[in-house]
Amino acid sequence: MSAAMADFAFSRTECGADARRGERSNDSGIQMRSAVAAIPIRTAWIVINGAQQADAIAAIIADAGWAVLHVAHNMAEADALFAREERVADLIVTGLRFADGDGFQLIRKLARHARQSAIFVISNQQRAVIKTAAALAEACGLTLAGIAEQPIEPQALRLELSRLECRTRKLKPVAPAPALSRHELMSLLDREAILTWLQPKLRIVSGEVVGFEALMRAREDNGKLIGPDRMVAALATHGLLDQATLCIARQTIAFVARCLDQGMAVSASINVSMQALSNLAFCQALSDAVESVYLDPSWITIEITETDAMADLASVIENTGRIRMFGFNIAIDDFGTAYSSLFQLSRIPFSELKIERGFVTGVDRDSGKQAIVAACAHLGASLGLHVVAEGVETAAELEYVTRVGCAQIQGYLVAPPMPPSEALEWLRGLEDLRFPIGQ
Amino acid sequence: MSTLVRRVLVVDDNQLNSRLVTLFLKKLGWEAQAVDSGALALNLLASQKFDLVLLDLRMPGVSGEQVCRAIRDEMGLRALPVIAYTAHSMPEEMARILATGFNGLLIKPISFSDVKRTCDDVVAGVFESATA
Repeated sequence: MSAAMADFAFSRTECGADARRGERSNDSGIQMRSAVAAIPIRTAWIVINGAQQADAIAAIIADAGWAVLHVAHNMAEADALFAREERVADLIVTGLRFADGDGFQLIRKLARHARQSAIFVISNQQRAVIKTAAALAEACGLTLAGIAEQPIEPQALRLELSRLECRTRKLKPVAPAPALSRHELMSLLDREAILTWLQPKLRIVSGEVVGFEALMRAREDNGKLIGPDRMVAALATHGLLDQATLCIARQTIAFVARCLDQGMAVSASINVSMQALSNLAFCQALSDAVESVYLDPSWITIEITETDAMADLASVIENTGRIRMFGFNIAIDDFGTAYSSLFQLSRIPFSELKIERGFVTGVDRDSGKQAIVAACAHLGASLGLHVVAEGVETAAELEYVTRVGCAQIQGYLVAPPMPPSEALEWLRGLEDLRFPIGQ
Repeated sequence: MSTLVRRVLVVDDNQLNSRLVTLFLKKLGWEAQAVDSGALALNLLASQKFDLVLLDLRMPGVSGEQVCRAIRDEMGLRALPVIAYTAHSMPEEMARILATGFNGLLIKPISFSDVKRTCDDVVAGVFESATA
């Protein structure tokens, strides 16, 4: 998982753990929940062309339990609201085309002035245009409450709105935590407070848990858990990422060796930057780490992001070739998020391709995502790679990724990331490592 | 009764690997013996009968492919199922390994069901026609 994606993944991880394993919520979920509880009334503004339509939508929103504070019918009225009101509503329901402007401008404005507000797009434009607006909102970092085509179905709209409350709770932190300083990071490393959390991977055909992805966490002095969103970029900035990666690698390698020793065949993967792989001493340290516990390195997979894999061809080939020579496997991570040269892809000794979670989430309901996931799965399989779908959360997503040839899945449908001791207990609870999926 | 128990020889210089595979094989009702070098494997094959050999390709000393060739050519054990136990390979590499005289591949990292499938294939005689 890349640093850019880490933010999103971590907030889902922690909040998902909240929802699914109630007692685990104390790690970092408390702040978010109290923040939600502190907003007693959910407020909405409606910006829809045509008084009749706007009123009809306002009625549905109000019926769903929202306080509709203002209704605007064009950009000028919307601009006036932004200028006049001290607080922007929690939810903005907007159309896309106005006599004096469009919804894209409104999305941009919202991103500049009120990023905490969620946006819901309702329009009679072509679906492709509506989806582009949704993509813009997400690209701007806004919470997308949903999209709907005119004429709207009140029931569907209500359902989307009920999902929103849950989603904002998941995605919206109270305030961005300050970047970790070099001193704080050094202290984490010195105290060996950099922790490995492990998320299982399941082989679909046999239902066996076959491995884990190692994800970075840290524990602050006050016991609070820090996610990769606050760590990876900061560690890289201060030149400490290699050291932290080696911490994770050693913990992960120890975990795998322990599992094998107890008769459980599980592999593990570690996220490594191309920068680290270009460092011969780093590669040697990885190799020493597996040798020190007598682990065959083929149980360990090095995950590099697609962005890293598409850097200077000669360097990438040298670095991946070397790590493969040491006996490790190599996976290309977040596949689909960068711009792969198929030529370059064919030159790198990958053994595994991981499809970016963003394409997997809701794949059963989105034909665009279906085309991408199917193409990635087909490409990977044709190159003789294990194809892993990341972020699988529902049976419908599992069904689709299975149908198009993904060999393995990772995601909440199986389990969230967990500390090694918990992962070991979880494994021991399975019969022959088979996870009862879909039962 | 003892004649019904199938015997497998596991050849791997990594003890964590061979202990794990041995455990799986025992669970499947096979009698497993593990050695950590190709030379020891050839010695054992000369004096004892096995129904299956799992052979790691990357070993110091005599390589897995050399052991396989010796089994086929020098010992004349052409019908003995020999499975290469190897890291992820490119398709052309797999073809080359099979051409050396191996009956099949077990790709690392392995799972219990992989080992079970190999054993089931041996019991079902899947490899018999290929090596006859």
